[in-house]
Amino acid sequence: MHDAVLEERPELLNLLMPAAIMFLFNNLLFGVGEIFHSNVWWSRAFAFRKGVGFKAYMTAGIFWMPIPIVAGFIALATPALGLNVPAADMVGPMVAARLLGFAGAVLVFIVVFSALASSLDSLLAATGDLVLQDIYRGHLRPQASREELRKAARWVVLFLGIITWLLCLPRLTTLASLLYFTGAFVASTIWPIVAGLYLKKASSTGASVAMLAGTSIGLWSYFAIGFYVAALVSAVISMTIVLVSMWIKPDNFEWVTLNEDTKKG
Amino acid sequence: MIASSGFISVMVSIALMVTIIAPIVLIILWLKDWKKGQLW
Repeated sequence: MHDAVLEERPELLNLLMPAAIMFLFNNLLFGVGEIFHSNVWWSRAFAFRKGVGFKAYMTAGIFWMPIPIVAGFIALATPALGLNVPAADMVGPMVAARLLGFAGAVLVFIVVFSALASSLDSLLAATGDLVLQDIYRGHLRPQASREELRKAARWVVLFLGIITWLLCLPRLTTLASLLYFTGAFVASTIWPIVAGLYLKKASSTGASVAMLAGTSIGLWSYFAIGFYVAALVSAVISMTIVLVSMWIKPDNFEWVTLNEDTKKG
Repeated sequence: MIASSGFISVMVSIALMVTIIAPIVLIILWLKDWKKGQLW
């Protein structure tokens, strides 16, 4: 396999290929941004018992490690197998079908479908929770009882599911392209959240401008340079703005301002 | 810098090892918490 790749596509084995290195860091920042901004992770973190969070995230991180290695290994197998891959997201199923036959292809389909269903389920639950707590209870019906919230949660999840399904109908893009595109949005949230959590001088204006500028310039770089730099550029721009805004106009944030009990009192 | 076949073998071996160990560790953790009456 190594010989075939070396002969046909030697650049795939180049560990210092500039686009590959940018893609590596781009993906890394996308992953970090995903954890920082997504309510999927926050809602789980809030649900953990004390002391469980670190252990759970660490174990999950270590167990996730083989996935990029195996994905890369499967991609490197294509020249040796003589496969002509028409689209990047078809590599896995095609290699599985070649090596394992029809049953293998079905098995890979089941695995991919289960992974997508699991992600969709978590995203619907987390986004539903966000809409319910921050919009429905936060603005529309602050006095809502637990029973009312439970009923509203069902409608919110159903509504989000239908909207998601409708958005997918026109088949505007592939899952991979959409992920790279959203990298600009996701990575721009890393620094505003880190600074907001740990630094007293971070300001809300600085965080908002950082996310807006990071996303805009990240999207520009997605089209002007390539899919593999959107998150990278977005994170760098957003970090610079957060740090500069703290230096130019430092804030003096107090956590107590977010305490709902204090507000009521 | 071209990745050698040895490097790829080591990476794939690590991935295989983690994949095999993962369910075993998860079962051990699950059993430990189950014994304590604290499943997570």
